[in-house]
Amino acid sequence: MSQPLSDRDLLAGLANGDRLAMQSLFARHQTRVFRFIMRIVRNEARAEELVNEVFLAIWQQASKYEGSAQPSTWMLSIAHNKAVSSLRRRREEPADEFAVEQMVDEADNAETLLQKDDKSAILRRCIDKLPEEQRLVMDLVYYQEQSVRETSLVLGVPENTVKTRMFYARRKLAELLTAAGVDRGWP
Amino acid sequence: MMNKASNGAQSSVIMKPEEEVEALLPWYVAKTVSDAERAQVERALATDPALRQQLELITDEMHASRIANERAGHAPPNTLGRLLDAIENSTPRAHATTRQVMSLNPSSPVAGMLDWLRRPGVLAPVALAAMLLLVGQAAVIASMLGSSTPSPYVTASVGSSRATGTLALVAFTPAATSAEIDALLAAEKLRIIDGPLPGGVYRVQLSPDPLSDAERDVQLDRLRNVTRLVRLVQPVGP
Repeated sequence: MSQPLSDRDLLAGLANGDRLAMQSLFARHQTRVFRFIMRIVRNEARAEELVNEVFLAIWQQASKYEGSAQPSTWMLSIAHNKAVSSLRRRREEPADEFAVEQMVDEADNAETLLQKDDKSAILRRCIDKLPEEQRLVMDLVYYQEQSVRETSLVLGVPENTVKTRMFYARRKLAELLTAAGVDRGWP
Repeated sequence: MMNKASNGAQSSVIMKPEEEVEALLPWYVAKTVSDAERAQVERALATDPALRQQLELITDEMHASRIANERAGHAPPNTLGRLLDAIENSTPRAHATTRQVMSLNPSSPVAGMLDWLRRPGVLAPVALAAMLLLVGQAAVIASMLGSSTPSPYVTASVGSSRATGTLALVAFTPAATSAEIDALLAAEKLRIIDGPLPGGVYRVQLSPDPLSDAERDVQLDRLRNVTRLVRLVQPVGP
């Protein structure tokens, strides 16, 4: 029985113009890429547009993939570059619908959430309040399951910077939780 | 506490040895450390109750982060179609037309294979091999159909095959070229959701909407009739 093709096999297929491989790769990774971008740009239409740009770039650059990083890491690094460039271009725009929706979604104040004993919701809210570069590292480590080295490749920063950002992200999170009335006994 | 080696940013910080281990804990919990790092962390955990206490906190953080990411949603269903259009426009390549896909070219490798199969003594071993392949595929399909384990969240590496509408499992013949499959998918308005799975099977979306059994069967039969390209069609549902 044949084994499922690996992401590396699919990228090799892309390099040869194999559109079926493109569809397979897209099916496997579109959600991962969409969510990563969405958490940066906070706008569904823009995220969709960027997902298209990312996979088009993957299609066009597949022959340049050298294999030194995992394909998922390579794809996330392309997604990061596209999302950050998009944010730079549109920094002057006003808050969009998603941001407004999210503000409504998280409208419960900390006291109400504490009364509901919904500490997970408070944690999520505090994570989203972290400085962008710290939250991004958390997303990459906890959800995208990237190692220290892989996270450094996605963000284009040294590995020590990745560790430091995560370290400070967790300290900052503890501060935010304390301010929200959640004492976790650390640090 | 860490010593900052430069002002302002946290980009250049010298960590003490015990902080090095503490800094690795999130990757340890996420199981993305190297063997050497895991051993280093576990040595420290064995003697440091404060570090052990952090494991539970990090697990909570990880769950919250994963839920927050899941709430970022999914790309709209038409994203793949737009991407394929963009690919089409960016790099024009020769495509098999739908008519080419649906008809059998007498000089094609598939036609040659059929001639070979007609020879005496060839069909029996081939049929046995095909039967074994189908048995294998049936096992694979059964395992895939029964593998829906509920979970409060999924990570990026396993959570990307969500699809709605009417689905099917499809496997293509070895002779089918990428261009022919591409044209077939376009002609039938099918979208690959996942794959290739073990056995070379793809999960495809027949329609973004739920179809009636009769509508679905018509579409499945149409696929089954393209025997030159399709070797297996199995409904997934409901």
